[in-house]
Amino acid sequence: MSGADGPNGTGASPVPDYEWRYEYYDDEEPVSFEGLEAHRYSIVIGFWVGLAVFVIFMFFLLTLLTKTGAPHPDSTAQLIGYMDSNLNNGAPPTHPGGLDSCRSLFQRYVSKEAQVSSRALWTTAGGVGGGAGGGGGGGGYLRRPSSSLEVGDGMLLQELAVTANRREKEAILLAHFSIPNCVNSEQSSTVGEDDLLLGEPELPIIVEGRDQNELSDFSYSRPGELRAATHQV
Amino acid sequence: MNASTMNQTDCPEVQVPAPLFFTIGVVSLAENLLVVVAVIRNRNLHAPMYCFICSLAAFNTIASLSKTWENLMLVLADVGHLEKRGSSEMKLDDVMDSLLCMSFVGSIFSFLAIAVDRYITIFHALRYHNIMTMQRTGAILGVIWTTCGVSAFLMVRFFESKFIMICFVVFFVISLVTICFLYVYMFMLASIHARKIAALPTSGEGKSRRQRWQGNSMRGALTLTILFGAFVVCWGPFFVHLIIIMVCPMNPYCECYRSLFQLHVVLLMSHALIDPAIYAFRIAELRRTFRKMLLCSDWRR
Repeated sequence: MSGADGPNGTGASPVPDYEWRYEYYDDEEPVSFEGLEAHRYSIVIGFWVGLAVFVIFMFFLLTLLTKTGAPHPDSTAQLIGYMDSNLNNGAPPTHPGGLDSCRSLFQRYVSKEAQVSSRALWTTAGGVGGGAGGGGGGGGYLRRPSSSLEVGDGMLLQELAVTANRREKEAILLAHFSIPNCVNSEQSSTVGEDDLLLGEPELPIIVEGRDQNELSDFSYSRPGELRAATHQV
Repeated sequence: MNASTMNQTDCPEVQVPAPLFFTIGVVSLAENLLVVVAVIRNRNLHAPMYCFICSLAAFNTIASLSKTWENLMLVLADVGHLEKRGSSEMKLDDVMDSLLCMSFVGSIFSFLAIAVDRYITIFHALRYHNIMTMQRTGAILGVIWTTCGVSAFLMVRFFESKFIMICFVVFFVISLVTICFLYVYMFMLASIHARKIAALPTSGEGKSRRQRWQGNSMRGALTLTILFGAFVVCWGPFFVHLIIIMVCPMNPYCECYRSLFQLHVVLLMSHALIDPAIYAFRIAELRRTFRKMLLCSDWRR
């Protein structure tokens, strides 16, 4: 403890080596614990309680959404009602327009872009909906028809009309449950709602495997798809 | 003269035993390495969705590896074989910290990529194949890895600057909100759609179908809660820690929160442990590949 000797002496004791670093193992931080009103771990407790409340609230919100979700616009209900009549009765479309009305419905469907097969929903979300592991199959499924749909609205319908292969139609049906039923009513028996809801993980892969012989019917934009699809078997 | 006014803190730092760190690190390393190898070896899994899951597993592998290595070095330093403040040890510590930062940022980016990929799968299903090509996936992954490398370097180099930490926290919050929104939106559409199907008039199975739909929706809600809840529970405390460092370094309450730092790091590591269970192991094709790899049977069918 030296006094202020020199003319430019500081007069103060040397500044302690205080360096602010984010080292939590040091105990030299001058934090005083006197006069605390609340419990010292109150931030910790508050944080964890808030987190638990948030997670539980989110869970209940999700379950509530499943019970009372907002209805979609009417066109969806129309399309699904149309599909349902084909599914259950196996009857040809009763609309007077025939293929044209199907096409207009289809165009509306495509333009909305919010309606997809629930198989895709449950399986490609990889667990949303509890379909354990249909993600790969679902994703692979969507690969196939979409390349033809890219070209135009009527292409899918034309291809379905032209393709005589039952298995191919079945594959398309499983991927887009509502659209192909406009054209093919005899396939209704093969598509049950069970498949659509539960999203069995094995089914897409099995069907893809079966269809690998008919893959040449479709034109693919990338040869890699063909290779990937043929690898199923 | 000592400037500190107290000798004993009321909130001593909570120490996590080293064996726990090692166990979590090694198990998560093994799991994530298995996922990465399975995705690379199985050609059926060369699709965008699996590439993102593989990238997530790779980042988790790096995180577990570097954290386990750091623990090993700390244990050795405590025993006395290594010097805590030596220059080479500090450099090594910097390298490990930057690897950890890289894997943290990369994990968050991978979660985002997986959520966006699933979103596109559902909402743009008809064009998914053209939106998410393998080339684009490769480009996205390249961008993610480059960004992570650069940000890791910056974060460790300029850690003292508050700006970097603010960026990190803001990035985390934005990703959290985006992921939450995407998944809830997807879930809403899925349940609306399933409800409509369940409400279709049929002959006799209406009730059982409705029950099945409700069972499925409940499972969907549970899955989503687990997915998102695990993310928030495991990552949240660490980020609140960062916020507290910046906001109230001297407050005693904040100090008590900061004393739990090692527990928060354990939570972070355990997220790397449960990630494969949430993302990868739910895919049937991946499970099949694991079984073949682990049983050493001929997988090249």
